Amino acid sequence: MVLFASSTLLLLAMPQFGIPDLLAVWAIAGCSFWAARTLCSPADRAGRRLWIAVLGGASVLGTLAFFKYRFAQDLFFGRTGATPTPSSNYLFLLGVSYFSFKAIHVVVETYKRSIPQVSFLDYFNYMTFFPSFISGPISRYPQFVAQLGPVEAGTLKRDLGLAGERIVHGLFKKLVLAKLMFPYTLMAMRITVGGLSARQVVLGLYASALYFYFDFAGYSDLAIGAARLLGIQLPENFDKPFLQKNVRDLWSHWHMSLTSWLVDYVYWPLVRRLRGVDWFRPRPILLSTAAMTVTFIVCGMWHGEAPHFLLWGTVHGLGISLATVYQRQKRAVPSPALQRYFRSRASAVVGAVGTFHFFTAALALFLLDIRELRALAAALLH
Amino acid sequence: MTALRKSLSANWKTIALTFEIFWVAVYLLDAASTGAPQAMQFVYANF
Repeated sequence: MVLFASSTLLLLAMPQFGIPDLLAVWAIAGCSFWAARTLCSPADRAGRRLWIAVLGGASVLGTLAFFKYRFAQDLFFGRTGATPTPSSNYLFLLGVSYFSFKAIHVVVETYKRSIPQVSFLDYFNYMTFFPSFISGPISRYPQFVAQLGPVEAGTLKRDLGLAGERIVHGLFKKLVLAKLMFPYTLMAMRITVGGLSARQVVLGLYASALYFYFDFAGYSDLAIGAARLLGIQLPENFDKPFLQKNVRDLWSHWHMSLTSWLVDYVYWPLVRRLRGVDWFRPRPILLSTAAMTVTFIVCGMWHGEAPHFLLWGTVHGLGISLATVYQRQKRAVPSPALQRYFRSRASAVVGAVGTFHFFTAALALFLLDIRELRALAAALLH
Repeated sequence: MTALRKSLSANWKTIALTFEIFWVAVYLLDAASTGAPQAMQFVYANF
């Protein structure tokens, strides 16, 4: 109860987060809690359980779409594209995204009966846990709730030490490194891409990649450290992503809690669905490519509704699929010299450098809209 | 030289942490020198 009350007070202390936002958060949490609680009852019929899970998931996704996408707001209010729309509350929007992932996780897992019981206070603590409310890491309900029980004796000193160290790492990344990098990013230049030289755009992209890493990894360190102060261990979110030797490994070390959520709740359900399609059954590589591409398109569309996010997701989905095929083909190469190279440090370095450049180049699709991308292509080709 | 290298490798975590604390303190002092409200606004804007 004390944790829930302090999370509530801290949420209300945030700028741009008022009572209506809190009530909206509670309402969404309430809907998903009702679905999860009903799904936990042992005697329900299978068809009814499916409907409850769909209803619970749809209520969360509907709210997320409403706050996140302009087309959903236009549809709801019956507005045309020409009508000016009020700007969304950015902070609430960020919070509702991450918190939606948690709600969907609980609804799906209670439907699958891998979470047998959901208690009101534990669930609301999980959903509104302040350190991870705004931008994750996305913890899983069983791991989170297991830590709400009585604390082992003698852990306080260790927790405080680890939390302090983590918070210092986070502050250094976010306040020093990210701040140093920011003036060179494309976002900071605030000039249309047409007004920049191709060289400036390319340098801006590299700076943006580093800025995103320092900013988000720093934020994650702060969230993990703040949670550790309370004795709660949140999952890791970043683990040297730019040192990974291919784009698949990069994504399993970048925003890890989101990637694992997408794999569990988008990729694997899609793979299971596609396995039922006759055409895909004898073509496992195409099946995996299609599922991975759709997963990253979902990831792209989660960032925004503009077409360039869709392009960004498609490029990463295809990149990961290509990396997977390449890894598989490598094993079949007969030359011992090449096999030695594949296992060497040089191969890992070449892979890491190539992966970082791929990630940075794809960032152009994330940061620039279609008109700006055309201007960039024209500048690069001249 | 070997003793220095050994000492550095044994204490690199503490050295890195001290370096980070120093620069975070420099930043916070710099932000605080612009006045508390502005510094807090920057922290909020960057949170």
